Amino acid sequence: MAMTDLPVELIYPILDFLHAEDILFTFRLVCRQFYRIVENYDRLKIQLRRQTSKAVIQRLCRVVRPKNVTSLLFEKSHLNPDNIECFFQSAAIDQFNRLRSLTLNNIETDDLERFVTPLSTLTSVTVNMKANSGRRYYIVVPCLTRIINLENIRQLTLDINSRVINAISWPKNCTIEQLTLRCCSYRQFCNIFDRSSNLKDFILDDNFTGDLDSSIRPKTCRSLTSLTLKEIDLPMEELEFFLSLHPRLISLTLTTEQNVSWNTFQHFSRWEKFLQSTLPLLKNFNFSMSNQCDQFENVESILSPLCTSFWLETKRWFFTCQYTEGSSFKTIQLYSSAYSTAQFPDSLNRANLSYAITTMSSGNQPNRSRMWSARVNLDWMINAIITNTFKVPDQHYFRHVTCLAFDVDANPEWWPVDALQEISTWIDLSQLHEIWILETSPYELQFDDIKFLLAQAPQVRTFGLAYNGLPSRIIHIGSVVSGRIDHLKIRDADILCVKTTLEYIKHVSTITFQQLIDGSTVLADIIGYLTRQNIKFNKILQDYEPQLNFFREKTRLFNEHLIDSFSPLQLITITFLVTTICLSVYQFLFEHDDDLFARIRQTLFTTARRLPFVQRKINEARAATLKSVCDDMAKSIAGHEFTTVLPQQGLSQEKLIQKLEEYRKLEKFSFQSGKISGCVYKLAKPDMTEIYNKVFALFGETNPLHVDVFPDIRTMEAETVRCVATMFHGDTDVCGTMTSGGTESILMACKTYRDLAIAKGISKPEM
Amino acid sequence: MAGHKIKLQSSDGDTFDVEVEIAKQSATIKTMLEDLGMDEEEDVIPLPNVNSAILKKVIQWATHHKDDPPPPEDDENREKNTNDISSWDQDFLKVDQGTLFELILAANYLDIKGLLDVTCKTVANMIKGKTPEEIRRTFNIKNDFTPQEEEQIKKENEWCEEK
Repeated sequence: MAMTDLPVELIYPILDFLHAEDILFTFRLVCRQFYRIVENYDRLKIQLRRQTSKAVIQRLCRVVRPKNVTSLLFEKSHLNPDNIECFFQSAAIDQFNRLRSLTLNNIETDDLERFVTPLSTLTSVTVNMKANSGRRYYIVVPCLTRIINLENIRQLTLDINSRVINAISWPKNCTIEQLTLRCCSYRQFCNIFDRSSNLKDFILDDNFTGDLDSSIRPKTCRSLTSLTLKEIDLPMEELEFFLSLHPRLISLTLTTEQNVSWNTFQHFSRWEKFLQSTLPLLKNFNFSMSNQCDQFENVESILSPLCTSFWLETKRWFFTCQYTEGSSFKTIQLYSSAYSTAQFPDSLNRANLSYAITTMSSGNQPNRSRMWSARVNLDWMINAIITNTFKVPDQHYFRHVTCLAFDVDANPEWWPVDALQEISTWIDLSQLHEIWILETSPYELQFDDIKFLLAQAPQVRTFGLAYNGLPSRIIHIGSVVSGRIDHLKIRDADILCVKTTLEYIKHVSTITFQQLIDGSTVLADIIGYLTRQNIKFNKILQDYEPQLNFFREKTRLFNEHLIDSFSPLQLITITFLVTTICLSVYQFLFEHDDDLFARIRQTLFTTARRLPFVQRKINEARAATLKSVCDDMAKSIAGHEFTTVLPQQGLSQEKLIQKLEEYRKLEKFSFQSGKISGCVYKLAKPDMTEIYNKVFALFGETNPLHVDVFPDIRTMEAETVRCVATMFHGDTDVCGTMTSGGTESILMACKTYRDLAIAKGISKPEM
Repeated sequence: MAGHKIKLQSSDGDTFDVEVEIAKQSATIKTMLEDLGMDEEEDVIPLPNVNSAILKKVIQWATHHKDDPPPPEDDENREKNTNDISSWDQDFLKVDQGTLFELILAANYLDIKGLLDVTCKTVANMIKGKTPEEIRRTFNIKNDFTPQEEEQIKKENEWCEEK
């Protein structure tokens, strides 16, 4: 069976996965059968993205049958401001009479109308528009109203200024089912809901503008099943009021980047009753918010209301509550666990202290339905203990911690010997089963300290290490990590490190390498090695972007090396010097007319000529030649008195002619015989001189420079040029100018040739 | 219900025992079972359009994907992405072209949307970014345009001069 045997209705689903360019420019041209299929294929989706060139747009528009296009995407950017013009010149938009989906990204006010006005079959429209300046925003309002009024419109996304949205007068019986707005006023929202009885899915990217007025409420909100509010910034009562308007919600997403009040925060964690009574149908609940607090908050108390069977078993919604303390802030966050996919320890912030509890689904054991994890900057913590800036609590700050990571970035030798022991008063290590050491500076945690930590935490089975560049570190870790560690995790490792680890650490049954750094070719070797050694390698391929990481790492190292070795001024100077030298060498080698050897030879000769003894010889020869030339000249005018000043009194006509005749007598050669090449051009006819004289008498008193005074001269010149052009079979475009002698003619011809070459981009034309 | 099996019969007469939940990924079989009330174990569902080799492959695919969430509704706006084929599916579809097209036919006949999608994606990937001549070579298709047609096609496909 071959592709050509497939029925047409099964070729269509294949074409659905191809870009319009692939379908029209190549697939169509394979054979007559495919050509016919494409001519009738009526689900074409055209995407004119910002990188689409004008040539592609023109070609697409020329080949496509507009009635076959169902979806059009146009993306404008400052890179291609003319593409929109190009599209409208190449395509007749009103012929796209089966277009259902239209997406316009980053367009301007005037563009919208051109797209939308001719189209009436749209079911789905997405418009993303730049901020409107001044009062010009009202221009688009009629256009958007037209879209909303379309008979078949089902889906609409308006990423537009709220002033525009609020100005739209929403039609009655609007057919839209899915609506996404950047923002709008609450009043307009109620208006929209009253008039869109089919609305099922509503997404608000920003907050409502202005206040929420609970005295106004939409009459019918019952159809809505999915609601997303991306920047909730409403007081609790208002939000609950707003949600109570939509009792049939199945899916709800509430997020905010902004700081919410502590009360709101606590209130949310006790939302069980509200959700049960107000939104009984809710199936999907996604949530994310944070609070800037001023003291250590008990994360557990916030999360514990979310650990009832309602959340964990009935709804199966799981949350993470995370407390983070940085040098200047303290934050507490509560979010749906579905939002966090990062693995430990990256799921926690790299601040001074980060502590999180996640609810999990695992049977009936209350303790196991939560996961405690923490990440601590060890230096900060030890300093806090020493300086007493942190009040040592009478009980463990972090209880039940199962995963713990330490950031180490100061020299541990400066710590008091017993500092680490204090940690066990802060953190309950008894239930720890995974421990990480993240060394971010050249300082390393002492092996004794690690041993001590491990001794305090009897249940640890997994040990993680951010690799710090020295294979010897890995070798030593092997001796520290005692027999009970059965899972070693190493991150940021390079290939050398991987091999060292596999070589020296034998008693660990599982080793995980995260964020492997080096190239890809040795990967196969490693997997082969692992298989031979019977080591599990479940995660080695995860987080693996070999090439990219490799170059990123190399760049980073090189950059650091530069920063360490040079000052900025040095770098600038070196760059300048290197560039200058490279440019001069390049110019010396390649930017000359003569080849290298000719120039070397020339240089040698020039230098040789400077030698005194050579120079003397040259001068002698030159003087001899000069003398013989002068002698020859003097001989040819022997007896003639050389005039050096104008005569005081002008000569009479007779005397002048007589003197000129005397001059003629100096001529010794008889050029009239026609035997001297390139001397005087003259036809050997007896009346030529007579003609010349007559012509001179006629036109001797003219100046061709003044073409308006002497149109006769101008015309004769032009006619001469034209006659010569015709002689050389030149067409009407050939032009020229008249010169009055051989040298000027040659100069003009060369100049013309050179200028033509330069206009064509040839800097060194050859003749 | 788990473990409850039905029998599927291929065009060449072989029968296969398949768990109902797995077989129900085929909307065709699902409708048959529901509409005809065929839930007695002796009943054999005949599938005259699918041969044994292909049916075996289809069952293998359906078994691996039995716990997948149902594929999303067809949406015109959904970005059609052909790079998201799972590695298992990629290996599964390393078959000769004949089998691949037979699988498309079978997925269509049995109405298994997931399988139809993934097979069509695979064929689309074989077409993407190629020249017409390369496509002809890939699928062993003869160029049957007459010289005049070639000339016309060439004309309408000429690149405009980019300015």
